[in-house]
Amino acid sequence: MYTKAIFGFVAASIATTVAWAGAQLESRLSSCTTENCAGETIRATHQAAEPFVTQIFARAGECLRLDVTEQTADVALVVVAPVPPAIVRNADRSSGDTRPLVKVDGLDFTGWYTVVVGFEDTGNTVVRFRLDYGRYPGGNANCAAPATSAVQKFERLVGDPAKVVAPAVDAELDD
Amino acid sequence: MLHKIGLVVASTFLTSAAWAGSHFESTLSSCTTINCAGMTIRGLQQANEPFVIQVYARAGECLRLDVSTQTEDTAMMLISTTAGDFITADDTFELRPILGIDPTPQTGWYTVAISYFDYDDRISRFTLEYGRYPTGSLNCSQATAATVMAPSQMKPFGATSQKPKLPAVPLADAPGQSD
Repeated sequence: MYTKAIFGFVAASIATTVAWAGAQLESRLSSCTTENCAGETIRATHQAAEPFVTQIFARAGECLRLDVTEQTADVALVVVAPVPPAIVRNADRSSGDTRPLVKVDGLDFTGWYTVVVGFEDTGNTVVRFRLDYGRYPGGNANCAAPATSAVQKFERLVGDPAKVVAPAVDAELDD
Repeated sequence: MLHKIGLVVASTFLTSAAWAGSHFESTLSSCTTINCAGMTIRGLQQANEPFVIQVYARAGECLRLDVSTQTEDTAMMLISTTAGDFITADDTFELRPILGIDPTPQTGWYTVAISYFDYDDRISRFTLEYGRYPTGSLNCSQATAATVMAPSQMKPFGATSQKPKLPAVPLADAPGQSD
């Protein structure tokens, strides 16, 4: 009886496990200065018409580097700030190099950044890639401006911070 | 034996991703009332951690995402299957974000992110209505039964999303990835 109950619990747990391509990842802050040092290397897959999505942590003021170092097809990288209307995107790090690279220095927000890596075209193409994720102190060499483009910053698309807002509520939604 | 089963239970929990949502696929419906025949998702945005899910739609449909109730002023972002197009919504009707994409540009999984509209530690609870309808449905032209809303179009992030694409290579480990 006890065994059956445990098997049932295991089955229910597996059945309710979500089918995400990624999970929540938190790299440690490091003051090293070589390229992609001391970060996390994520090996991942973009399924057919299904971008790889994960959430990573970073703190305000840090240098955040997300570097697709290898790819089997041309992917783009989108990073959404903890305030979703703020994003940054890169598809090609330079002319002739289609690997995306995002490096944002002096982050504005502490929290969970949503990372989306997707094949740049439609169709049932599966792409495998390697993503290096690192957190460094502001001003670190890992966030030095690329020679071919300006320093990347999160672009706020909607939402007026000056809007008058009500205090936070602790309310249940109506059923 | 029970000890081994216990390990399985533990490993199941350890490998569960801590996501706020999952993959959702509503069925296409030709009904014509607001938010009819879709999915009702009750979500929670933790402090500085947006609620993120992926929803399915086919190219050429009307895709409606409607935050119908909320405890805080939320904003919503939608990213296309190619990570090349996006759209955002805030205060579409009163303080609620509503998107009615018509027609959807691609077939596949769209990434939806919802959070409080500004940087703040507050927690938001909300109800998200997700529906798929044939193109031209009023669900992409009405915010509510009494309020008109223009159908939305996703826009490209930049010129790079329109560049010519190289053919995909056979599925294999990228250089340096083989074990």
